[in-house]
Amino acid sequence: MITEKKYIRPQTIDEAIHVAHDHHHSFRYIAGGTDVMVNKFQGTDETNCLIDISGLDELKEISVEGNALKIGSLVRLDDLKKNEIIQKNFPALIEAAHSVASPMLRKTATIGGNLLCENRCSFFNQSDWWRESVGYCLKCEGDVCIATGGTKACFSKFVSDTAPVLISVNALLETIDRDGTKIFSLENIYTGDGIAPRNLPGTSIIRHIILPLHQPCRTIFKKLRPREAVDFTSLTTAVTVNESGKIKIVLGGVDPKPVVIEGILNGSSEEYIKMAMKKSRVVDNDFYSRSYRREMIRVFLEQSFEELKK
Amino acid sequence: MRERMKKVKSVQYPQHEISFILNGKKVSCKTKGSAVLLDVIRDVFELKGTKPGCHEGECGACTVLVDNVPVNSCLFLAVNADGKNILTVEGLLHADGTLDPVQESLVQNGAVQCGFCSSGMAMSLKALVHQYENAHPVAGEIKKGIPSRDEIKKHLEGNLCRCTGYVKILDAAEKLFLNNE
Repeated sequence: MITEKKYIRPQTIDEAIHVAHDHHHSFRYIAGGTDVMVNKFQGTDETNCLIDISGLDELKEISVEGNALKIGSLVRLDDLKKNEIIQKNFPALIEAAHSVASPMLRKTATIGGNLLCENRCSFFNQSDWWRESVGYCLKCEGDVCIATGGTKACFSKFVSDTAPVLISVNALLETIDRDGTKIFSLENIYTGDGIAPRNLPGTSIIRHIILPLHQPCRTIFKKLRPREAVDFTSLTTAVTVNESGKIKIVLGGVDPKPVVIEGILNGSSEEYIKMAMKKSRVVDNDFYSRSYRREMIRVFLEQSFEELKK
Repeated sequence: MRERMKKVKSVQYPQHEISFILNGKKVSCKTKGSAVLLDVIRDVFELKGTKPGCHEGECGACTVLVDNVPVNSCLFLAVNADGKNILTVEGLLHADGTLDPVQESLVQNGAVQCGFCSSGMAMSLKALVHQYENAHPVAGEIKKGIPSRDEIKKHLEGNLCRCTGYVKILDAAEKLFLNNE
């Protein structure tokens, strides 16, 4: 059900932010639209002003500045593979981007949009009729979480596939708002609260995703899902090891935010696997059962460690 | 729920003027900002070949080509089609009434059963033909030779078919490229 009363297509970033502040009570930025439009059709997003930023060409560039690779937030997932620097330094990012949705969606979906993809739950991402008949859950203004039966917290899962890879290579975000540009560590924007999963101000626009160059590292990416294409993740793992043997494990799809574990490669991998399983708050809100997804954390991480030793 | 629907229906939407090339003809129309390309193609221009399937970007029945790139028209804002070149399944038909080789191959190889996915499938295959044809290369994706069965599978993974089991569709695609060679 679409409730739009207004559609605005700004030509510059400043104009977009200005318009967003004017409509701050109820608006949504839209670029690729592959997540926003689905939520609108299902009625889980009832904002009534669309601000279309897909015309902002300055956000569509990939550039190198000093020791940093800057990926514009409106770079399409399908276009990442065309960049030689990403191919050479971050092949896992291309692998992750290519595991998202289907070929057609990747031609419109953007990397910024993937990082800000709304958390999902099998009791939330349904039509309005479905949700009304089951009883609205915490994420759509109900009183109880249907997945857990609890009343305190929403455990909708974090589903971005590119974010675990980007966090594992210590990506930064450059955002822009009326008070100027700010730089955040990507992992710090996720709150862990299923209802409000990100702490970025709604009017901010991600300008760049900044990746450190000249810090050689290897990343192993894995994704669990029922079908090889289209499906959202049931478990995403990204394990990165850098030259000095430091590892960063990031899990997606098993918690309202990405689960991050850091350590050194020569330490006991068993310890990290246990830590990862303990830190993930997996609940029964997916195609696969809770116990299967928990077990698969162990399987994926063991496989990743094996591959890293080769 | 019904109350809310009534409320939504009574809202007057501001209209946006768009013009684009639809199957080789320049067209223009007025549309609301949140309208998707699928609805404009089906309801305004009455081209019913593009099918509404899931409205979630999962099934690919609504695939159309926007500047030779296949997109799910159910999630593509109509206003973003302004100035673009749109090709739907109706545009595949040649001026003399003969079918496009893509359609011909699907028909000849028994890759069409109920037909609901076929227009989307044909458009996706057409995009693959574009990628492999030097005459109309998609920017940055010019490829030589013919695609392998795995590449075709990868390319068609966003188009669901509940009848054929995909084998005949893959056969049709392979034969299409072999005949083109």
